[in-house]
Amino acid sequence: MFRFITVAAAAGALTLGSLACAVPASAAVPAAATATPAPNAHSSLSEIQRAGAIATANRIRDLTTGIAKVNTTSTLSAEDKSTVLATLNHDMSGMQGLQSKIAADTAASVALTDYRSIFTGYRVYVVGLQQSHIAAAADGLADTAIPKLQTAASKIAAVFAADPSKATPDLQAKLADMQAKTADAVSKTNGLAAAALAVTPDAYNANHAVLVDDRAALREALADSKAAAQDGRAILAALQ
Amino acid sequence: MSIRTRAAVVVPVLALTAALALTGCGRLGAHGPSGSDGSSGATSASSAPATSDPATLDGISQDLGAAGTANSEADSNAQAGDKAAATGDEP
Repeated sequence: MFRFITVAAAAGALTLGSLACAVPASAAVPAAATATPAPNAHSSLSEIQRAGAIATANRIRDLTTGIAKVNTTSTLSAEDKSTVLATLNHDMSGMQGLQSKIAADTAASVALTDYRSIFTGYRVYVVGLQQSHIAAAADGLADTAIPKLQTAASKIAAVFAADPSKATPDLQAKLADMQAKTADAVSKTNGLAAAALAVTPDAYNANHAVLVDDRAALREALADSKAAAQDGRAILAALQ
Repeated sequence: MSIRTRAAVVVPVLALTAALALTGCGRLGAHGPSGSDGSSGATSASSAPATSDPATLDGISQDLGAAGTANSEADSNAQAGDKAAATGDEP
């Protein structure tokens, strides 16, 4: 069953955070347009075309913002950035094509098929944009946060070795926890970005929970990385 | 010694003292900054970094700061991913 909950327009804007504010007011979907029910087999051609115009416009808007963000980010690895851009640009072309096609359709049944393919053929929000964010977060942890935590822990261990009087049981325990949490984060981010980016719209169509485990792993890795950083800061404060 | 002469001597001494204090070079056992891998730079094994070494502690602080920034960015991306997953418009 299809739903056309145009709260999606607002959710899409939220998804991209403050960058959404950069979208010109003229590009925003009018609030009144968001109350349109999902088209079905009984909908008229004009109703389907109206719903299709809104759905594609929302996605084109959020993809435009997302692509710009990916182009300027330093968080994604080069390989993952290339994969993400390929997906988002593919989605953009698809949405633009459907936008034009639905507007030109002359039969309601054809328009309804095209309308439904906006979702099932692309999954712009729940696959394209979601996997992009997961990959960016995972790469940020794996390529920056974790190596910095490992370096900091090594330096702290060297300080303790040079001056054992500073290595109190409490600080030693914090360092051990810092190292353990960092190792956990390494384990959980290992292959995470690649796994998220491998998910396709077809995979989501077959299993709507296909990215749930990746999101959970990311949350756990992030919690580990934050805890390790907190340990490091506590040790540093005691040494200063 | 006149006031002017005394001032001419005292001011450079104060400046030198301040410089030594800021760099840590005046401390007993002070040495150069650590390498990014935690090594003690050009110092010998017998002059391993002391906990009071400002360069070592500053290096740790910078590493932790960079990790914290990366954690924050990852958190923002994770939240954005959650919101994308919850748009609710995907049948």
